[in-house]
Formats: sequence, C-alpha cells, structure tokens
Amino acid sequence: MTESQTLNIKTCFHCQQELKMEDMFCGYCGKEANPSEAKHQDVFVLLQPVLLYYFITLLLLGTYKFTEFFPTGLDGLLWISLLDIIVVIAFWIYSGNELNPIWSLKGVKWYLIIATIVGAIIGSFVVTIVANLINISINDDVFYNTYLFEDTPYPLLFSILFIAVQPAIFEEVVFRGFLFNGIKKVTNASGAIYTSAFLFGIMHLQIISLLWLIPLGLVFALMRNKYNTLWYGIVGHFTYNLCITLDEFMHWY
Amino acid sequence: MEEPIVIQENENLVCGNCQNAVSIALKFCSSCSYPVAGTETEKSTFRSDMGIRRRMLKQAEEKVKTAKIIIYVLAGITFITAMVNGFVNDDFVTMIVNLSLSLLYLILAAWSDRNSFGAILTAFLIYITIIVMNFFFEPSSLFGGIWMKAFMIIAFIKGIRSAKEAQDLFAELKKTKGISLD
Repeated sequence: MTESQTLNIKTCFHCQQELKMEDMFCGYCGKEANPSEAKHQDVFVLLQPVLLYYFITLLLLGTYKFTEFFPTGLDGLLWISLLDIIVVIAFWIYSGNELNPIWSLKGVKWYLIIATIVGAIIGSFVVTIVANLINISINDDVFYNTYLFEDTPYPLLFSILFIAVQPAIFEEVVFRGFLFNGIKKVTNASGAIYTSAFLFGIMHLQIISLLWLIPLGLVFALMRNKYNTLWYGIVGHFTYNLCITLDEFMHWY
Repeated sequence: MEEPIVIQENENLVCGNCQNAVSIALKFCSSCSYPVAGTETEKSTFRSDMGIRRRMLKQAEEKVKTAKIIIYVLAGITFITAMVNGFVNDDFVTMIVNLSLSLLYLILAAWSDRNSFGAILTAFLIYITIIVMNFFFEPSSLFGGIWMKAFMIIAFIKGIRSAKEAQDLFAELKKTKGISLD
C-alpha cells in the first residue's frame, strides 16, 4: 500500500535540495538544515553590544553616585538622566529593527495589563514596608530622590516624569529589549531571563535593593519572554515606580 | 502562499544511530545526519566525530568547573569580609552589603549547574561592578590584590568561553543523538 502525505518544504542552505520542514539535517549532503551563525562566532564578539552598554553605564552611574564630577542636587540628576537617555537611544538605534516586534500592541491583553498594574501596586506596597524596615535598621538610603524636585515649579509632575516615566521606558528598552535579545543570542531563553534580571538589579548600584530589584526584573523578563512584548514591563515598571514616588512624595511634602 | 507538495513514501532504511526511518533516496539521516547509505569509512568517521565532540564537551565542562569554584570562592571571601566588617570593625551596613553579595554569589554558583553560561557571565559582571564601585570609593583599591583580580578575571573569561563551547557542543550532540552513544 502506498501512503501519501502533504507537507511544506524548505531548501538546504548547502546543496539547495528540497527538505521537509521537520528535517534537522539535509538527507542529501548531511549538513544542518537550520544552521546557526551564532554558533561559530566568538562569544565576546556576540556579547559586544551587551558588554559595551553595561560598562559605559556602569562608569556613568559610578561617576554620578560616587564622585563629585556631576553637580549635586537636581542639576546632577538631570545631567545623568540626559546622558543615560542618549546612551540608550544610541544602542536602540544600533540594534536596528530588532526591537520592533516587541513594541507591537498586537496581542496585548487588557486583563493582563490590569493584572500587571495590580501586581505592581502590591509589589510596591511590600517593597515600601521592607525598605522602611531596612532604612530604620541600618540607616541606609534605598529610596528615590523625590525631594530633589522640591524647588521646581511642578514637583509632583517632574518627580513622576523622571522617576516613573523615564525609567519605565528606557530601562525596559535596555533590560528587556536589547540586553535580553543580546544575551538570548548566546544562550537559551531561561539564561536570558535570569541574566537580564540580575543585571537589572546590579546596575542600580545599591546592593541592599537587590532584594527586590532581582525579583522585579525576573517578573518583567518572564513576561517579556512569554508574551514577546515590552508593554507589560513598561506598564508594571511605571506603576511600581509611580506608587513608590507618590508614597515618598507624601512623606516629603 | 506555498503550494503543498506530495511525497510518495516507499521503502525506508532504519538509521543505525538514532533508529529513525530514512527514505532509501537519501544518503544521510535527516534526524541525526548519520550516513545511512554511506560507506563504512563514512560511518566510522561519523562515530569518531561524535567521540571527539564528547571529549571536547568533557574538556569544556572541566574548564567550566574552575569558574564555578571561583564563584564559590568569591562567596566565601565576601562572607569572611562581612564577618570582619561586622564583628571586628563594628560596621554593620558594610556587613549586610557583603552578606547580600555572598548570598548572590552562592545563588549564582547553584544556578551554574543548570545554566553555567548565564551564571558565570553574571558573576563576572558582578565582580567587575564591585571592583569599579570600590575604585570610585577608594581609587587605590584597584591595585590591592591586583594579581588575584587578574587571575579571577582571566578565569571568568575562560569560563564564559568554555561554558558557551560546552553549551554548543551539548546542543550539537543532542541534535545528532550523540549524547547517548558510548
């Protein structure tokens, strides 16, 4: 008895013979059916954009936080924010169209957006309690700098803009955008999720804050990987930072 | 839209490597690339290739082990530093910071059994970050234990390369069903 089946085809990269979609190797020449370019490149060449961004930002933030190179107060914060935005945009442009698919609003579910907002509100509430306990216990400063906006014409608006809006967009583009993609080129999805979450925590240069920054980074990276969009991360990040900003704002003013 | 094609399935050969059914029209198994219709020399070359890759995988895994040990060593050093800061210098903030770091290195060391590449890369970046942060606090700290730092950085770089190599070799062997071969 002769069986027949219908299927789609692909072409061997090496000998141009027609192959079945599920073929792992070409049956005619024995070469891989879906060769990966990344496999034959040096890992540090592949990681170049990731490492370059990491070290540029580390030096910038280190200079801002631990030296007197930048002006103090609001001026310093504005300078570092501006430089950070320029660096992110430069890498964003460098990554070309790679980030376009994760900006798409197609497939973004409203109920997941609501769940993200609720989760971020609960998360910020828990973190505020823990951070208050830490501040009281070891007298460390793990808060944002909302007080810097005290002398601006619109303190709340500027606080929200620089503490909630800007990081929510630019940190998501970096950590769940091109760093995530860059790491995924050299390892599997779970490697990219965990590594990007750890880097998100470390880059804030506040060791104590790792306690909540790493879990936060993990949640956003998991959502980015599962739904292939930046929007849940942006909404969650914005809501989380907004709640903490509002809480701090109520304490300062 | 792609037009579906019709393939007539006739007699099949059974792959000597992965037991997949292979059409007699083909020379290689489309599931593992074993030369089913090849000469004995080609078949033994395939097997020896698998053997070479398995040996390379073992060597890469050995190098990865060194990097894993370094992560444990860093966790230990940071823990001792935390104890000295807390109980000798009465500096409890630095103690908690170092304890957090020590815990972080321990988590990474544990994770390295599941994803050595991600864990070693992250530990390397944390190590560099700490050196840079210390440099900003106290520039002369950069030169303290410089040989030790250089050794750690070189070991991390080798570890990252080997972890990537091991990951790729494992994936290749899995694809060619060579991981279960003797």
